[in-house]
This record gives sequence, C-alpha cells and structure tokens, in this order.
Amino acid sequence: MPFPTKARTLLAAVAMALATASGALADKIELLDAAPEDALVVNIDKMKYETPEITIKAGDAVTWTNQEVMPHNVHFLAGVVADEAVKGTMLKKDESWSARFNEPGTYDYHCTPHPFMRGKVVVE
Amino acid sequence: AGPADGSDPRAKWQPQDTDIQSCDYWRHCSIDGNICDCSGGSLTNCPPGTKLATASWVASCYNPTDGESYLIAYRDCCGANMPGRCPCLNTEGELPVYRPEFANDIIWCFGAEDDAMTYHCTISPIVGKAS
Repeated sequence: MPFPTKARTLLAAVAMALATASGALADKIELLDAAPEDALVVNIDKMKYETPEITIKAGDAVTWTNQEVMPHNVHFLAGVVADEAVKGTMLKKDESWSARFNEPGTYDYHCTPHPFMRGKVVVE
Repeated sequence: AGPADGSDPRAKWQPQDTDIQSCDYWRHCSIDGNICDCSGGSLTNCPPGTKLATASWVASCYNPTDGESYLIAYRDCCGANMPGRCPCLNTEGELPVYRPEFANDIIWCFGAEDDAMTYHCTISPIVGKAS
C-alpha cells in the first residue's frame, strides 16, 4: 500500500500556535480536585456546552460534566484566566472538571479538539 | 481480503480482531499514520520517549467479534519522527477538517507534554460504546 503521510492542515497550524502548557495559575481561577456540591453545572452533550454562557458570583465554582462518549474539555487561552493557557483534562462520558472563579470578569473558553465549541463564564 | 493487504485499496473495509499490527484490525478503522504497537508502544500506550496528546479524533468502529460498535478516540504520540513501521490509512466515517472531530488528516498532538507537535504514531483506545 502507499506510504501514508499525515497532512499538516491549517487547523493544525492554528491550534499549534494556540497551544501552550498550563502553568501556575493566577488568582482568577482555582482548579478543584472534586466537584463542590454547590457548583453550577454545565453539561456537555451533542458537541456543545448546553449552557454556553453562565453568570456567577466571585467565589462560585463551576463543574463541567460530559454527557456523551465523545471526549471534550474546557480550554482557556493564554491571558484569559492566567498568563498561560489553562487546558482542562479531556473528559470521557460522565466525567467532570471543576474550577472556582475568584475575580469578576468574562472568561471565554472552548474545547481543545473542537474549536467550534465555545462557552463563557461571566463572574460578577 | 481488503485494503489492509493491498489487494484492492478501494475494497470495502473488512475488520478483523486478531492482529493489532495489521491495518485491518477493527480498532484502526479510521487511523492515519503509524500503529504505535509496531514501534515500542502498544495498542493503547505510546512508545517510550514520546508524548501522549490529550486531544483526539474519533470514529465508530465495528468489532466483528461481538458485533458491537465502539467509539475509538485516536490519540497521537508525539515528539519523535515517524517510525516508518506499520503505516496505515483508513477512513471509516472520516469527515473533512471542518468537522475536526472526525478528521484524521490533522496532527492531533494538542495537549501533549512539552508542546510536542511532531507526529510519531497513533494509539487506538476505546472510550465508550457507540450508539
């Protein structure tokens, strides 16, 4: 069979430019090991964040839960919640990822492998 | 017979469940690149020295043994040059890059440690049962 090669696409190039390692976080966001009981839940299903924009108060936590088999995550670009990008772990079905937001602001995010999936957390 | 053995590259996909280093192994139904098991990795693990990406494309692959279909989240192992072993290109359910979740032409190294973006090989783990 012919020797296949991976075609480097424009999408890959753009995403590569955006990809940065998550490092030390600023005070704006605090990653949580477990989902707090009082966290607002954003379900992920059918290739979208079911509540694409949520408004919370400073100090509230948000939990994203994947409802489908397709893996998804939550990815904040560099400069949104910290100097470096914050890329949440890929979530399989029924897995969750939580973060607490400590400062007012508007924080846009997307799914790393699915850049058309976008959401926003508004912290008052 | 089928695309994997080179007899007819346009023949319909005929998955098997016995040889993971063969392109017609059922989990490789939408793989593009090299099978990691042939270069020191395994069906679901990267070779030593390479970095596992977190992001992936997916495909629903039919398992001929149990007659069920499973979602395979293909993940690239990155940070080393292509090994040249067990190259495969299958496109069951593949879609163009404007549907990236099913597009295997993309180098899916996003999220790999050290920002490694050089493609080495691909693993084929199951992430769930396809509906």
